[in-house]
Amino acid sequence: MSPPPSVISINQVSLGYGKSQIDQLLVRDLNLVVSNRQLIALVGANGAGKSTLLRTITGLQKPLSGTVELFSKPLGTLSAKTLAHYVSVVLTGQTEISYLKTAELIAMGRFPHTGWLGTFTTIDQRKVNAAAQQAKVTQLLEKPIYQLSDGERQKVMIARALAQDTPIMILDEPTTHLDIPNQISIIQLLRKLVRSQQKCIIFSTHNIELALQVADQIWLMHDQTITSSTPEDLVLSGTLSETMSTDLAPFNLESGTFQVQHKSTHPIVLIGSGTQTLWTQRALERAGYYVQPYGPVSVEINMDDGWSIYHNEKLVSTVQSIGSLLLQLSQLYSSLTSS
Amino acid sequence: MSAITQSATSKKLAPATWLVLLSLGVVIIGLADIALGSVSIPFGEVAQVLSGGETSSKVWNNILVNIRIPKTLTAMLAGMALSVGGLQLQTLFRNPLAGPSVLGISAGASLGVATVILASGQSVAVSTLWSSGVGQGWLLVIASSAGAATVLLLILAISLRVNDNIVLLIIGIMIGNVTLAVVSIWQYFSQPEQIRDYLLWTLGSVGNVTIEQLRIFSVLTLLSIFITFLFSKNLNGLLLGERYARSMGIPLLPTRIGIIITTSVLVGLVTGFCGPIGFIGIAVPHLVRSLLSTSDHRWLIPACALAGALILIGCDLISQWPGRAWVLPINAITALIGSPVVIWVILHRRNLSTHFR
Repeated sequence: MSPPPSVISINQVSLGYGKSQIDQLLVRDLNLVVSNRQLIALVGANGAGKSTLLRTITGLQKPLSGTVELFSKPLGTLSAKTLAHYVSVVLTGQTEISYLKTAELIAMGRFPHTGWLGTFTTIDQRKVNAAAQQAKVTQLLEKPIYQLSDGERQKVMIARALAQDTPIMILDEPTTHLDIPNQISIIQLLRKLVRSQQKCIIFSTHNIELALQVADQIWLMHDQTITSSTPEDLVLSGTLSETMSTDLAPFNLESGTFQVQHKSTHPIVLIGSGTQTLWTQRALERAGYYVQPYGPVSVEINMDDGWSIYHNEKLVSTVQSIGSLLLQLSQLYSSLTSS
Repeated sequence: MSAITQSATSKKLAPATWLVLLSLGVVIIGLADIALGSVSIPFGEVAQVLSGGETSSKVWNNILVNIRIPKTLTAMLAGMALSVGGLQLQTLFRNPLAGPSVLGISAGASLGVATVILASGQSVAVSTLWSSGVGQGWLLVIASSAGAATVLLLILAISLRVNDNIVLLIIGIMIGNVTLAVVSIWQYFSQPEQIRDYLLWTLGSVGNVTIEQLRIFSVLTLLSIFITFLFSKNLNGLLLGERYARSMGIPLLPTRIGIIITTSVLVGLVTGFCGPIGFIGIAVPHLVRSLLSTSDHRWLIPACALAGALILIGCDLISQWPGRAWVLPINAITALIGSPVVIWVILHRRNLSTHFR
């Protein structure tokens, strides 16, 4: 059986800055192969070299050593135009804004396919329309770019990359600066494209929790290398918590999230169940209380009708919101310490 | 100029409509520029000369054929060249303040010209220099083109290392200052006659180009603008930044070199033939983008050429105000008349700032 043709193949690649390779080496002797069309999330700490890697795969930057091959053809041998038939990109940061209309911007994606002056054929027009529909930006086509919101603009840039009609799409932090609903809608769009258009999409993100939920494959950048595996293997093998957890926010295996660790001083007993108790516990932990279900602790909160605060088994007060609960508790503790 | 101010008040017109309006404007104001001047010549006679005939007066004939028509054509070509050059630089550097005069390209051309004028052993009147035919007349043009290209190449070399447009712009301005400082020192050690010649040259003039020179001037200008037009897809790609342009298959280096060569030829030609004419190169592209509400260079390049021609011919018309014996320096007029027009259009349209951010 012959090996499947690779979409992207990274061989012995080292990335870094400048000439002194020892000091600013970001990635050393990296080997990675992408053999089928999938959604890959590139995660890693700030400055780990995510953008550098993505720029290297797109041919915008040369690696310090090693080669990158797209469909078994080394990047160095491809002309700018051929490369533009293989890879489309959505870059991080704001694009320069001009009088361009959305439709014109998306149409730019057809540049590698059009002639010297960029004259459109009916095929080009159809591809542009299809791209606008897939990215759900048809209602924005007549608007100038500067009137779009950040989320809309990101979708338009993705539509432009779609119009370019390439098997590989690379997105550098497509969800930064976006609110949660927009982040999810962008990622959903990428997932849909991988399924319906058979594209190979690589995106970098800082939102590891979201990446774990949606990506087929995670590329985790750490210690000058990349660990590539499915999100679940990455979690279960402990690699993720080893590399990304910090004392401030350890990775929680049950919830698949990073939880901010609060410095707790005062022990407190919380009695109750259900969602309300869960959120009360969060609030108490944030405020610096060490929450226990039982124990020899002088202060106790009982949750049935509202929040009842007991001190040495005597009812101090009953409040109707978490806000006033925290207020009452801080007054109680300050009176306890002063006496 | 009238076409611009009138139509700016009307709401959005198609770019093609603008091209027609601007062409009409160029024809009308061009005819006016030929017909009106310090010596008043009846319109009938002017029309006769333009249609290839002769006037009843030999003096009128001489004025029209040897002075006014070349002058109008020079203004037209210079306006076209500077506007298209400025448009290219603004797109290449993605900076609204980029232009031949700001980035020191005109200063480079000045240094080239100063080298010719100030280094010539004996004092040669500029007019002699210009009219002396192929020899020194071309020397000026070549020197100024070479000077412009040198500065532009220097800025380009720096732009390969510096990614920040503002930093690049400041460096450009500094290079311009250094160049002009060299010229000043040179002036300090020169003869008064030479300095006077050089100063006259810096005031700018569209009246020193002979008909033979005009042939070459027009061929090179139109050719450069045509080549620029062929680059319009690449220029459009650069609007999104160099990385996007590259990712869309636009070859960056050939595009950059093409822009630099055509711009130096355009700016160098104008500066050599007419002196360092300011304002047009930086203002007209803004004016045109604002009027046409487009960033598409396939429209911007012809529209800039037409609008630049229109404005510079208009300025020439004002500088030789009918019935007056004097002719004002064109450089003063371009800024004096042009700046308020641009300010008015900017305030009126309020969409200029959206092109660059």
